[in-house]
Amino acid sequence: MTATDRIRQAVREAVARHGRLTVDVMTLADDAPLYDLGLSSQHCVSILMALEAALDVELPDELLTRQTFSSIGRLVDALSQAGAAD
Amino acid sequence: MSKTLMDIFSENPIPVFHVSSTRRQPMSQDCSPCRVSGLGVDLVSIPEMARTLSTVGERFVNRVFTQQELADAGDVAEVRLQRLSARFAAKEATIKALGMANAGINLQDIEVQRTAEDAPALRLHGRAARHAQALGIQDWAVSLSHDAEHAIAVVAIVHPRELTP
Repeated sequence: MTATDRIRQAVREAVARHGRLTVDVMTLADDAPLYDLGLSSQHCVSILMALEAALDVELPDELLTRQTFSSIGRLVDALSQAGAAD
Repeated sequence: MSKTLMDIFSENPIPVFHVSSTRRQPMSQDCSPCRVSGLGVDLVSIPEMARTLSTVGERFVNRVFTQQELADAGDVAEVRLQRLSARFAAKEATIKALGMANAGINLQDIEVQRTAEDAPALRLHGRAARHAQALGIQDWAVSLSHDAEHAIAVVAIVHPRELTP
């Protein structure tokens, strides 16, 4: 499993646990629009906190955007950019 | 043609209270009527907030709220939960009102304070303050409310408006 795969797995687990979506997050496409599936800003912060703890990384302010949380793929990219893959 | 809320606000200036930027004075004392140029509202589920605090609590609290906000929330568990929920709603409502959803804002840079009259007031710091400054925004109004289940906040961006003769 690559570093990116590990981040993707952590993202799916965090979204599944804290996103409160009504779909199966583990089989969701990377580009599926999370806000259209019921994600709220309140959930986003919970997901962020869980991911930062799990991956021992802190997203910089410039990545704390609505766009970052818009899909699993965007979250994986942001976390990779922040150094979670190191 | 139907009117939007912003059309109605523009045509019918409303007196604004609970306003703060650097002055933290009621807008009605120094600027009335005012023009509203941005509006944001956010609704927070208090049971969801309780769940968040029970799962990612300490990290969440330290990342989202300022020391002053935590002090203002008090030590009574139920009241503290309601106040933190309302403050979180105010931060999200501010992001909407100022159009900062993709600006990359640290939520601690949007702070809810209390005025001497015990009214809520917003103070912006860091990137949020710079974003507002770049947009020429100097004053804003905030109102908070909650019951046992929900907390809600409304934030309006307000500008002085010249009275027409």
